[in-house]
Amino acid sequence: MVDLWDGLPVLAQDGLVALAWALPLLVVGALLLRGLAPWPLVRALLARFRVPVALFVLLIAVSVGTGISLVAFERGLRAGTARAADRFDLIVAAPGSDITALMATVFLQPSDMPLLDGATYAEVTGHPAVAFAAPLAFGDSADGAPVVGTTANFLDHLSAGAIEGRAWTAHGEAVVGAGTPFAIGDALHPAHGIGDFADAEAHESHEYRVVGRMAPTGSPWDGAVLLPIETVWEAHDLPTGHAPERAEQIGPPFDAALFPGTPAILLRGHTLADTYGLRAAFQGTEETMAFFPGTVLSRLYNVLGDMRQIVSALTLVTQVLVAAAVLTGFALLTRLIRRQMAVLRALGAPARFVVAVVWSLAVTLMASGAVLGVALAVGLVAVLASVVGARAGLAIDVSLGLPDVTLALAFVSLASLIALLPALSMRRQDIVAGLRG
Amino acid sequence: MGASGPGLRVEDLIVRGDRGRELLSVPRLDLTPGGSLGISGPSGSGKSTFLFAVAGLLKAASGTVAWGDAAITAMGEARRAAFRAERIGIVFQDFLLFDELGAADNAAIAALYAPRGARDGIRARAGDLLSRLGLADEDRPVPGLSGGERQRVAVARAMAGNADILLADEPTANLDRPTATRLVDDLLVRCRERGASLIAVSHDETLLARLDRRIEIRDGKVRLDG
Repeated sequence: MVDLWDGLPVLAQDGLVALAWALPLLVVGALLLRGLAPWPLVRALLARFRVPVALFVLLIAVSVGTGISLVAFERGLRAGTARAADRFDLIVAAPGSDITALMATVFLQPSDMPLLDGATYAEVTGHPAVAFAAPLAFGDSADGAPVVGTTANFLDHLSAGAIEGRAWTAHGEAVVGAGTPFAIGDALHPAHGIGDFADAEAHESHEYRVVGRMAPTGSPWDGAVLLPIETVWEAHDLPTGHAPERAEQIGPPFDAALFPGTPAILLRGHTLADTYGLRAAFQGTEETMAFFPGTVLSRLYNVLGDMRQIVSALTLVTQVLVAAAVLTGFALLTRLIRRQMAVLRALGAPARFVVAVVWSLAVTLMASGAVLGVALAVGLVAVLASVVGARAGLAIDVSLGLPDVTLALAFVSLASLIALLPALSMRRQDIVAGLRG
Repeated sequence: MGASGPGLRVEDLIVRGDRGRELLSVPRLDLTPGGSLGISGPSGSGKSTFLFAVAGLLKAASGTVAWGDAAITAMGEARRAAFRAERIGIVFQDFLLFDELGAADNAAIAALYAPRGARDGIRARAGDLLSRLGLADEDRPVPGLSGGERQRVAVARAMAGNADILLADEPTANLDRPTATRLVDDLLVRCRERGASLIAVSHDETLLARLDRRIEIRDGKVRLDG
């Protein structure tokens, strides 16, 4: 059975899950409405009480829309952060917090990290399993954008070669991310540090010239300025990693004795096994730690997953409370149609018809609110993805799918069961008392 | 004229209200098939209670109410509802129409819960009755109708289900004399055409005088049978 389920296409699985959630609604609806035609009366009653009906529908729409958009946005955020970490196979840094190193390297968050010295850099990048290695030297900014000193192979790796203009060929040349406001030819003025703590005067004698602009990567690196690492060292009045007679060289090989240090190195092995081997080789040594950003993100997701469950539970509780409030309001509304229902029963309408009218009224309210809520969620997630994505520098791609619609369907289906309570209570009311109002 | 509606037989009927208070006591009452009966009496004397009891809307504490062979007091709620739907038409005091619906939809309300095969017949009869009652093609919402028009819609609703028992509670109350006369004419003609048995609660002497029999109910008891 499990094999059969696993063998189904995802769409078929989602469809079956949606159908399972819809089952209570379909079963109750079929049992109640079989052979009856309550809709003309239901439509007329909805039209008569259109103001409270519109308020109920709006309340449900906001509740359902908020719930769906939070769940969908969280999923999009997770996918966005995972995508941002995609190009960072293995990070080697000085021992410390891997989360701090992850935030600094993948998400370019300001942090104070110790440096790997030249000998360590040489040992790491000279390992026979290494197929790709690039230093990542961050901590400065230029006109508000984080500056990262690195090597040209990283530029190729990050941009996949999609650069407008050209890569740097000399000291002082910069390639900017697609999200920066800088154009090719612009002169940038470096500052020591990032944000409010940046010291604009520390490197005031230096200037960077933009020569290229990367295509969007959907990561915080879209907001970065990339430079030859030698230019970063020069701005700090440090050696450039090369002997004086090769002072104009950019990129490896570096002279270990003249290597000022880098906070992190991005590595990739020749094979996946090699990359795992590199992690094993440089994790937990005296000079280094090594981690897979994806693994650290998973750990974060696990921690955040608990929070997500709490938020999801709170969302569900909120939805249940809204549904309860709406049904309480609805129960009050049913008092207004008590006399009409008594007339129907006095005329000989089966009790099931009266239950069907009241239940259909409630379900129409819930279903309308849920449909409107899904539409609202489409707008909400677009706004959230745009605002949060812009602030975090992440491309958050959130689109609602069948599972999100299933959430709304589940809400309507469960609410249709709760709606049986006021509907069945109509059945128990005294007919003559109802007729006399 | 159609086949006669069922006769009514009431024996030792007692209906009680809150805390066992006796609301109605009818030792014996018969109505011949297709006959008509008027009920008069002061307000609160038990007239409507009698009407509700013979419609099976109130549960009798004891005694029997039977329409022909059908003892309504012995039926469960579902069967009583089905009996009303098939056999009894009721014109309520204050009309009790659905303000949300137009005249035609009100008259054909039974089509919403009738078996699928009977719905077209109900709608056709409702349309025909409205037409004969002077409300052809009338589908204004109920709040836009006059009192007389509402009462005629109520009569059409009561008879659209092909009932052969018609119960009317103050059908001419609040109507001016010409409208009341026209409504009584309509009511009696429709009952005669269908051979329906008619019981009408009324203070209207003109209506009561045109029925086969009349009784008076006072303090829940039948005082006068003439």
